[in-house]
Amino acid sequence: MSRITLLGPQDPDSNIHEALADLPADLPLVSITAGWREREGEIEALAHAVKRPVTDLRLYARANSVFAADSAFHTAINERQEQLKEQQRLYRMRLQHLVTSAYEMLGAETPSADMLHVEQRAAIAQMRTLDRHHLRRVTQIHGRFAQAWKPWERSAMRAQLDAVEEAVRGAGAILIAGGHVAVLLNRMRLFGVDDLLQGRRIIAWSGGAMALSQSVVLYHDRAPEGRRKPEVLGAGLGQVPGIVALPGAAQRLEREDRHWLALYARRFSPSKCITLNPGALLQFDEGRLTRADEATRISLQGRLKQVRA
Amino acid sequence: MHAEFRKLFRKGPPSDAAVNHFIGEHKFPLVEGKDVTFVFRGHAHEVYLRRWIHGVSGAQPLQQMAGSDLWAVTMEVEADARFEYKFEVIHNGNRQLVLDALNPVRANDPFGANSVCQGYSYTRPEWSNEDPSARRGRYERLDINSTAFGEHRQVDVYLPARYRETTRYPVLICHDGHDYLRYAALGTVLDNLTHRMEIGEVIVALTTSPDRLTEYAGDDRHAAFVGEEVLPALAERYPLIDDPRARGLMGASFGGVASLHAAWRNPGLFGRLLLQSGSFAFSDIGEHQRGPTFDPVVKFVNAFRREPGTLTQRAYLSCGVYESLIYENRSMVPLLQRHGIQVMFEEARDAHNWENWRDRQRRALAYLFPGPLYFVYE
Repeated sequence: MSRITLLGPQDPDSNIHEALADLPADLPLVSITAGWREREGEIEALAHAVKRPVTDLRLYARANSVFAADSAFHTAINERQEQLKEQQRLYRMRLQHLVTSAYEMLGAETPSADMLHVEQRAAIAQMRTLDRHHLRRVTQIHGRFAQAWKPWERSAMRAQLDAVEEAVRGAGAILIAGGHVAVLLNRMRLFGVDDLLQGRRIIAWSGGAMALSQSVVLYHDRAPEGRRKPEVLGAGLGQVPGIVALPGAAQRLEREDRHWLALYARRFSPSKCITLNPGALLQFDEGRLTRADEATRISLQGRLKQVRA
Repeated sequence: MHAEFRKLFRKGPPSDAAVNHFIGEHKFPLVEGKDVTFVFRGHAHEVYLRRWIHGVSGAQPLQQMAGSDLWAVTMEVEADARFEYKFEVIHNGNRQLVLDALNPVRANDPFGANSVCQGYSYTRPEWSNEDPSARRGRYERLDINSTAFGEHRQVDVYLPARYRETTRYPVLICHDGHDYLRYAALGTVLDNLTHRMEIGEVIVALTTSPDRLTEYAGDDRHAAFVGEEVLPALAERYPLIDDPRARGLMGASFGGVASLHAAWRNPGLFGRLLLQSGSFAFSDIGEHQRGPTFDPVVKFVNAFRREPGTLTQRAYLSCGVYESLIYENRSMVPLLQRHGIQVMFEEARDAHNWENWRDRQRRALAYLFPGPLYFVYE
């Protein structure tokens, strides 16, 4: 049975052991900590929390060794990343104004409620159209790159791909840590982990949970430079469709602003915007939510509601 | 007046022991909601409170408390406000400015120190205090034989923790950099914000001028020094990102003028400006009243306001509302915006001092050199 468990941040307190409680102790665990970048593989605390040995896939380091061995491929990856950055920047430029206007529309008052509702819907539809457009553009960039460079056929990749596949196939569960979500996704895609995850037992937290969802939404309402407009980064691995994961919401989400919250919910509907704070646990069996602890979703009215299985 | 301070005098003049006990038990100035009572203890004929606040009466007299050597005055202070002050003590015809001996909170600057009054909700930002978990950056010295100034100059360079020759970095040139380190905790702030990923890893060049009131006042030699000597020397020694968006200038007061002027004289070179309480005095009509030191500043700012040109792409400006420069800084904002510059402007209930500039650094640096925090979900 495929079971995917999403958790909130594991620091300072971890609840990962709850997600593993029914797993036989002798099954090997594999971790993906590429989102930690240079700190990849520093999994002593993780091994302690799960109380059993864990082997890290070291996707970040594997990618670096591939880049060192295949400079043309490395250059092409860098160029693709520059394209993605520029695409994100252009999207952000357009998004700023749409989010501002939609937010103002949600907070607007008028005696003509019917008229206002029409304009509110139109303002939100514009954001959704832009998000879809951006997703398409990002997907095209990835697609063109894959077609042109066929990473899986490059000699520097082959041994790494085989090793990754073998480790994943032999694992009782795959643990996906958070960190830099773009780096995490890139490395998982590079080594075909998205395909290898099908039907596996997966436990993912924070950025790892974001990476498993249909599309990845970056957010920080309390950034030092002020409230940032949530941005679609691109498609996630789609293992848990129908949710937008918002880890660390206690620090990042502006929970007191109902109109702002409603904007999240309406913009990304029908996906549910789910907050994942420390202690949160969402369990999906065969794609169906079977357990929900301490997670909340944002309602279309901008309220935080407990998620129930 | 503070209720407990009043109570001290309820049964007549208090004894020395009672006063000592009271002082030992309280923080000064005495803050009770918005009411702040300043207390001076000593022999004097008159005592005044001198505040470094623009637009309010220069001196507030303290009243001597009956039969004692205590003097006091109470005034309203906004909750998050912060200002500097001293007592002016007149005794036997002598006039002396002294620190508040009962208040340990001081603001230091190159000219000395002032006592600091903090409104009841003011707290020093936690990110400006040393964080033991944050990795420290390191410092190197760069020697420059300046053609512009015809002499040797030294620039200290902050390299972020985990600095690597194989990575490319943005660069920020900070005027009065050593004062920023000493009085505005810039090194600690850079360490902390980098560690928290709130800012990207940035190389910061710390410059100091031997004659800042001349060199920072719209001096073309200084603009050449920054654009044609310091920046190329940095690019030669360190792996810098070759993009205006990754090059910034920073400064406070006259250092703000120097930054603006250097960006103006090197159009398109610096895409990021961090200007704190810039001394942007101008006189579109008539003569300015700020004295001869400001003559070259006014000349430059007038010229700049007429034709800002291709200045920069993004600018952060801040100013305290208790500063005489607030009007000039506010008026800079629409001017920059009209010329296509993205501007973040912050006002604070604070004055022209290093703590004000320290407290604004987080937003400023995160706005100009954002870190990967947005992408990182641990």
